[in-house]
Order: sequence, then C-alpha cells, then structure tokens
Amino acid sequence: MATTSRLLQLPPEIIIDILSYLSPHDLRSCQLTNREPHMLIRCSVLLQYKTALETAQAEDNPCSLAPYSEKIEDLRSSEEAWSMVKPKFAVSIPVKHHPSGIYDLTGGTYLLGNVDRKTLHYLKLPRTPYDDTRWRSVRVDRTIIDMGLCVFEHDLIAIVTTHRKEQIEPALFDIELTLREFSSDRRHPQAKEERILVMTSPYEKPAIGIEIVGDNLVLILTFYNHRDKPDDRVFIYEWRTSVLKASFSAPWHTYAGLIFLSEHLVLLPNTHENCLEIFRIPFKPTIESLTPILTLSLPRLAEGRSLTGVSCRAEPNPIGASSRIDKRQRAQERLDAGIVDVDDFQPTRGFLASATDAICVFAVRINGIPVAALDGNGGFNLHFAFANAFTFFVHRRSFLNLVHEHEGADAPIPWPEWGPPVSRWFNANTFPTRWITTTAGQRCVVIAEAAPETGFPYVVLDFNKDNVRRMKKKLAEEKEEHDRSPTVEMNHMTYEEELEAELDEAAAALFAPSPLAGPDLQDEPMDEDDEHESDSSSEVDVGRPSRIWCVETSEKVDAPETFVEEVSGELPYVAAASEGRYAFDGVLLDEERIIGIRTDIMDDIKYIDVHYFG
Amino acid sequence: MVLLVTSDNEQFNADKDVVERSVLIKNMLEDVGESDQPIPLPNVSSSVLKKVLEYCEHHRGEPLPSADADQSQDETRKRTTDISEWDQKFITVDQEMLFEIILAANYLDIKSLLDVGCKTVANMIKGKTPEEIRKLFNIVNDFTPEEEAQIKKENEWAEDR
Repeated sequence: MATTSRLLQLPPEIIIDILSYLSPHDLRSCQLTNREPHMLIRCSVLLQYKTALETAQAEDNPCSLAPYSEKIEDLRSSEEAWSMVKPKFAVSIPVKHHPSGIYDLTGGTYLLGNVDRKTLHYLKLPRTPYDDTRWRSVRVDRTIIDMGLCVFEHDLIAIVTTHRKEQIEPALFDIELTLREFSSDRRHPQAKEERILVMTSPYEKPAIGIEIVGDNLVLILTFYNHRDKPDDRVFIYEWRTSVLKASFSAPWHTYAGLIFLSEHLVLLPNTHENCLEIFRIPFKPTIESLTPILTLSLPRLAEGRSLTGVSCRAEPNPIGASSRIDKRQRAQERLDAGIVDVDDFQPTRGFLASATDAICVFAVRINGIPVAALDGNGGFNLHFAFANAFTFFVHRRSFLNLVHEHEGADAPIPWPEWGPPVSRWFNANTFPTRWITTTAGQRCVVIAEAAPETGFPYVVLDFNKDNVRRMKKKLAEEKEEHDRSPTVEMNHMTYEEELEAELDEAAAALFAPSPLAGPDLQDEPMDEDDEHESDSSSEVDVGRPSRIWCVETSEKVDAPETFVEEVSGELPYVAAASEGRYAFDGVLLDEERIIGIRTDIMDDIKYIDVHYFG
Repeated sequence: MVLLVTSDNEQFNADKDVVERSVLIKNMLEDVGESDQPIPLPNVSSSVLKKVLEYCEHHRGEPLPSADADQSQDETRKRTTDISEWDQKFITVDQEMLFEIILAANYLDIKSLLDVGCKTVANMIKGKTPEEIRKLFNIVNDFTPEEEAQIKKENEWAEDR
C-alpha cells in the first residue's frame, strides 16, 4: 500500500501554486495536515503576503515594487497601530488661507478650497514626521463651484466652474469642467479637451456630485436652493474623449452624490423615492435616459417625514482594469531606469485598501414638513420642526452581491429584505457630519460633537470581520489572564498609568455602547434594560479599563417618530477609542491617517492635526 | 505532423499547431527545425499524453499567454478557481491521472493546463477540515500533539469563517 501522498510528491513550486488559490482559512487547514505543507506555507513569502492582504482586506500597491517581506512587515505594523489606535507620530499643519466649503481627502492628498473661489489649496499628507507639508495651489480663471479628484488612478483633477455669459440678459451661466493633471497643474496628457461645456443654465451655482473611475466621469448638478425647482441633471462623460455617454434629468432635489460600485456600476441615493438606485454605465454613448438595474428601498418613513439629504462616499474608489497593469509597468520602468524619488502623488506604501471590500458611508437627514421662508436673495430657506440624522454603513461588496442576485428585479427590494444583515446604523445627531471623508477601506472615525477644551477621544470603527473576530479573542484572553491573577493589580501599572487608565475608562463609558452616543449621556444614567439590549460587548466584558469593544449583534437604531419599520443592522464592528483626548471640531480618516480639524470662532479651519498610523 | 514518443515507447502523431501548445515542444521544434525525427518524451506515459493531446486539440488556435502578460500579472491578487465547462469535464479523472496531468503540463510547459490542474486540486481542498484533507490525499499526520496545538493557536483567528 502506498503510504506517501501523491500531492506532497509534487514539486514544491506546484504545491505553492495550488495553495495560492486558497483562502487564509483553507491555508490554515492545509498547514495543520502535515509538517511539509506547514513549512511550505510558512516559508512562502508570497503565501504569507497574500494571507496578510486578504485578512486586512487590502491589495498590493502596483506602484510599489518593494519586496513582499518588507510589505508584510509594513502591513502588520499598520494593522497593529490601527487596532490599538496608537499613532506612530503626529504633526500639526496650519491653514493660512480662508477656506471655502470645498474639500477632499483622497490618495494621500488633502484639498481645501479658498473663499476667493478661484483657488484650490492642497497638500501631500505626510508619511514621516519630516515630510514636506507645504500647501500648494491650483488656480483657474473662472469661479470654482466644486471639483472631483482622481489622484491615484489618473492623477486627474476635474474642476467644475461657473462663468457668466457676456452681454446676455437675463443672465446665463456656462457650467464647465476643466480637466488637469493634478501633479503638474497642466493640461492632462490623456484628456482630448481641457475644458468641457456641461450646460448653460440660468442658475449660477448648482450643487455638485462628482466621481471619476476608469473611463467615466459622473457629474450630478442639483439646483437645490432655487425657487423654480429646476430638474437635477446627471451627466456621464468619457473624460479622455469628452464624449457625453449618457445624461438624464430627475425632479428637483432627487440626487446629490454617488458611489462607484465598480468601473461600470454607480449607486445614486434618491431622496424623492427614499431609495438607492444602481445604474450600469453604458459602454457606448446613448441618447436614452438610463434606468436603474436595481433599486434598494431605504426604511419606510413615518407620516409627515421626508428625506432631505443623503451624502455618501466609499473610499478608495475602484480603478479601471487597465490602470492597474499600467501602474505596475510604469513602476518597473522607473525602477529599471534607477528613478527613486518621484514627487507625483502616487502612493508609496506597499499595499492599498481594497476598493471592492471598502465600506460605503451614508449620512442621512430626515425632516418633518418644511416651513419655507424667503432669504432675500431670491432663494428661500427651509426650516424644520423635526430633524433627525443617521449614519449607516454597508460594504461595497454587499451591494455588488445584491446586484448579482437581483439585477433586473422589476420592483424595488424592500429594506427588510436586503438591509439588516449587511448594514450598521447610528443615530448621528450628536456628532459632526459636516465632512463625509471619514472612511477608508474598512475603517471609519467619529468624535462626539462640541468637545470641551479637554477634548474627547476619537473612536475608530473597523468593519473588517476578521479584525472583529481577532479582537474578540484577544479581549477574551486578556480577561482570562486578568481573572487568573487577581492579585496583580492592573498588570503592574504605575500610578500615572492607572490614572490614564481611569481617563480611558471615562472615555469608553462616554462612547459605549454606541461610539456615536453624545456627551450628554454622561449625566443621563442609562436605563439598565437599554444597556443590556444594546451593549453586546458584554459578551466579552474584560472588565474596565477598556477602550476597545466589539459589537456583533443586531442593534436597533434610536429613531423616535422617524420610520414606520424597525431599523436595525447586524454588520459587526470593533470600536477603539484613542488614548488621548482632542478638542477637534471634526475628524477625517484616510488609509494611513486620522486628521483632526480645529476651527476658529468663525468656523474657519485653522489647523489640521495629522495622526499617522501607516 | 509531429511524431512524439512516450516513456512506454508508444508513438503519437499530431498536428504541429496542436503540439505547439506545449512551449517545450514548440522550442524544441524551433531549435531542430524541420525534421522527421521523433521527439522523445521520457517523462510522459502514453495514457497521460493521450489526455494532454485531447486538451491541446480542443484548445487549438487559442492565443498562448505571452511572457509579457505573465510578468505584469499581479500574483498577489485573489485567484479565481473557476474552470470552463469543457475543461471541468476534461479534468474529471481519478486522482492518479490528475497528478500525472499536472506533472506533464508542468514538464511540457502548458500553462493553461497546469492552471486547470492546480485549480482542480485547490477546489478539492476548499472547505475541508485538516483531517478530511489528509484522508483525501493520503497525507500522514506527523505532528506531535504539542506541535499541532501550537500551530492551531498561531492561526486561531482564521478558524471557522
């Protein structure tokens, strides 16, 4: 009888090839069968790197040709720093100009508009404490309304401007797109036209939603504060050729923003219909209006309630299939030519968050019947007697799976059928939602609003299921250790450390069970039943102090008089509060850092504090 | 037509564009030029070569992966184990033959066939417990209980998904 395995008799490189198709879980099973596969897997840098990437929901950065061994080290150290919310360094950067409401945070770049509406200021965010964090600027000779940044994929900035046509009464405005190469501030070498006339409109300043992925640029114009209530317009351009692939209109105040689910799929929240619509971008230009391939209903609203706004975002954006190959080739060419240091805004870290697995954030505002009042400029303001804000999260992949399952369904999918298993909801009345750029990859950062001078800790939410599981195990082990040695107080802490731990406890108490619960919870003793219902971290109660907690159970969002159906989500997450407290007016997050924003009394941004995690 | 001789001395006649799916044979033919000499394949038996030729015949005329495309491919990405319907049927063979085909594809340098073989083995492993994998591939557990416990602990987080 043969006693040796035919599988293990294969040459090692073939065994590795077979193993490279397997998930971390299956690899673990293989490792446990026998010494030989165990050693093969342990010694294969490729398999180790793949496993590390997959568990971090990351992918290799095609721009970086650093050896895998180095990338594994960096990835592990980054994951560790994030999971404990322990920044590697912090720098404070002053903002010297008067910022406008235009901003973005993507691809390692932070951008802030200028109230002069002709200039955009931006900086490359630091990777080391010594990096140059000078502000740079880009100027155009028209009035800037907004812009779209596509730094990583195309080194492209698309600036939306408005320009009054001369000698025409009543006034008409050209709404235009200017395409520039971001790093050089010159005309983009791949764009056939530098300027695209989108439309001529009697309204000066529409609100803009814009995203660029692959060949496509999607632009939404909405004239939300105009009395005439003009239709919203959606334009889909092939930005290189400036060909308009599709355009359609919708009733006033239907759309605001969008998320690219993949190179050819976009998701647009529809405030009129209270749903999320998913469209497929046609390959060839079409004159027909696009219809959604799938509509996902949001929770049904109570009588007299309406959705007044949905902001959304999912960072990083997917990139076109060909872009990835191009980047690797360009990196190789550079390496061959011996070019090491290039100041071109391309990411240098060895890995990137996976776009397909990234979380999408939706900031939802729900109001009662509006009371309109003229504002003196021919527009009007709306006042609401009832206002409620929510933030919810869904993985991009969950939407892609829903498309796969239900594409072409002739009716909207009701919320209870798709939402609860894939989402997590928070009541957002007590934290700032002014800036939507709070997520990247699996993570999101929040801080309670109106921090006192002593500040609040910020809290990082991580929606990576593996990280939730790992942290739960770790916390359980720590608890076990703690229980076993009750005589050793606080693991040999010094008095200062104990004091600090007590502070942490206060921080954790402030945020738990919901990391978004506001400061007013402090003097409002929680109902015991409430605490039990929602504080699922009690499963692994490690005893305080703990600034880290896991939530894996379904939670009902606190939403009095808002919906007619129960709104709950089951998406697991692990939350970790920072050790320090910060008097930030807002917090932002990108793949490598947290950015704390400090404003002055006029609400102008004065400083940004960068906490670097890697 | 090209004449191939297997390890068990059987002769096979096949079209040039069929056998040239093997990069090894393609290079050999380029090196020796036009010749009536049979090509010896001492590492391949007749039963396996028959299968391999069946595969090459079916995929005749399809573009061969270029060395260039190979290089720019990202080996760190998640790889799909999807196999086309025909290939799936083709590779439904006993384990002995499966491993023989993999070895032959490796030796003859037929990348697409090697991929089909490796994907098939990977699919057989997927979702199985260590004990089930051992049983399926006749692998002996040579760990001490302590070692096994240690490895389990190291990778605990990857458990039950």
